Amino acid sequence: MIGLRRAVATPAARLGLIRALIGGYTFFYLAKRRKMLREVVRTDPSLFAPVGPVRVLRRPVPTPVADTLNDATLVSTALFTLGAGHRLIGPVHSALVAWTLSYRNSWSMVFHSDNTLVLHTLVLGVSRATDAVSVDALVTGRRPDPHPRYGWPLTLMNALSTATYMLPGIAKVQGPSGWSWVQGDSMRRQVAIDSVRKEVFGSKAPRMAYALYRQRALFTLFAAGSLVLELFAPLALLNRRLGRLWAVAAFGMHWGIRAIMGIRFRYQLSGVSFASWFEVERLLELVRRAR
Amino acid sequence: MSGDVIHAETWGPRERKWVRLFAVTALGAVLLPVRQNWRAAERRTDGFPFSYYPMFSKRRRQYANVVYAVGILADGTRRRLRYSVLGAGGLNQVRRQIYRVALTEERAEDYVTALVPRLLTNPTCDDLVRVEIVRGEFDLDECLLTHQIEAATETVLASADLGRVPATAAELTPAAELVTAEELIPTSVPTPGAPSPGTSSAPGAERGQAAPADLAGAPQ
Repeated sequence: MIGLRRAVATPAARLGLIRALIGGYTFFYLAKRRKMLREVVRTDPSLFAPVGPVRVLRRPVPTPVADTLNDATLVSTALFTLGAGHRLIGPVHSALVAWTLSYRNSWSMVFHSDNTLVLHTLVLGVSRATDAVSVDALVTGRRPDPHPRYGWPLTLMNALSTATYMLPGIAKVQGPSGWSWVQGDSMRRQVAIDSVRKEVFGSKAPRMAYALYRQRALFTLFAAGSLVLELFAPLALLNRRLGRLWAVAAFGMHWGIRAIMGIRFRYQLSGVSFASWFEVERLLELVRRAR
Repeated sequence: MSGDVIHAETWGPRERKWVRLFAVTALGAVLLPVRQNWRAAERRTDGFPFSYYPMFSKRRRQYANVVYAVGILADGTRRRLRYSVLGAGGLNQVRRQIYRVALTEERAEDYVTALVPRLLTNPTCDDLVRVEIVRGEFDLDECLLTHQIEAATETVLASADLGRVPATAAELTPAAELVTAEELIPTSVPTPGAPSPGTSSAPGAERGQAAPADLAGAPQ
């Protein structure tokens, strides 16, 4: 909120490029899973456990409807990425992404790693994210000056990101372990149970899980580091450099989780989740100079 | 966010109010689930995309239960079934579904009944003659330190024949007919630790409490 109160002028290209990056990631993510989504919506209806906006349903929608909504989301994602008809497409795309991922999570397993993607999309969908780097901007020929209206969505996205890290931190210390969570035993056991589940269900646990399991001190270090990163995440909003440092640290944490537990937080691992912390429009300048 | 502070008048007439309202609503919606942490465990509800991240507030002990499916070959060899054989949506979704149905809702028989036709149409399961839904208790330290993922104890929650005559038996009795999936009747062992009905036990494995050695043939 502090950042929002003193929102400063921001280039429209930064917000536009963030929109294109997040839209492009979403398109890749959903297109790759189109077949899987078609299978998931055909799961035994008794396993239907609606979450989020899907809670308005008592039972699954007919599969042709679910398939159509999935495909409509792909189309809206493409238009959102290109930045075409954003005043309509932006909110529609936000709603479709929220619906599609909620519906995908309504079969007994919630994939929390998609939370941030949905939240970021919601913000972009209602902001003026196509005033630059978009089809809309090409058509109108607008070249808007930097303005806080291009900054607040990024600040809000960052604030929402830090909140989604702070909440797991609170859950850890508020859980049965309390502050002793920082000792690392819970994290060590979490790595163990996750490895066992993987092996039991025919996947492979990462070698690092086995290799590091004896190293209790290392898990204390990991636990303390992750707790600091999560509980104090909102402080990253107070200072630009601190924010970037936090983003890099969180990005590193996800790659660490990937190496030790084999868990892929794809949005975070791609780096797109943290792009809003940086002056990404400089990439466009680099491209222009290279030409 | 670099650049100079822009004067308020450059905003649209209601633009700033709308931004504030949206920002406060979005942040509030994300932070609101935190109150779940202070609720009684049975009253907590998770959501999407607004969550309190319950997986981080669970107690993690040395022993952990996992519910999974085991396929049994004609020679008695036991093989844990891969998640993709059991359902769509990936490992974690399948794992949560089998746990929910078999353990939380105590409908392991329903699960195994629904699974049989799926296995009969899966070429990778051609060698299976039987399937069991099993709850395994794993000693996490033992598993990770020895690199052997074997259950300390196993309880068969439900099982079903796949209606296939073992190859050796078929050779001896050529007239033997294969039963269809519709004729299959799942058997179950409702009481953990109790001896099971004869038709559902794996060779050498006492029902309910199978020793890790009983799974020696299970590929990892």
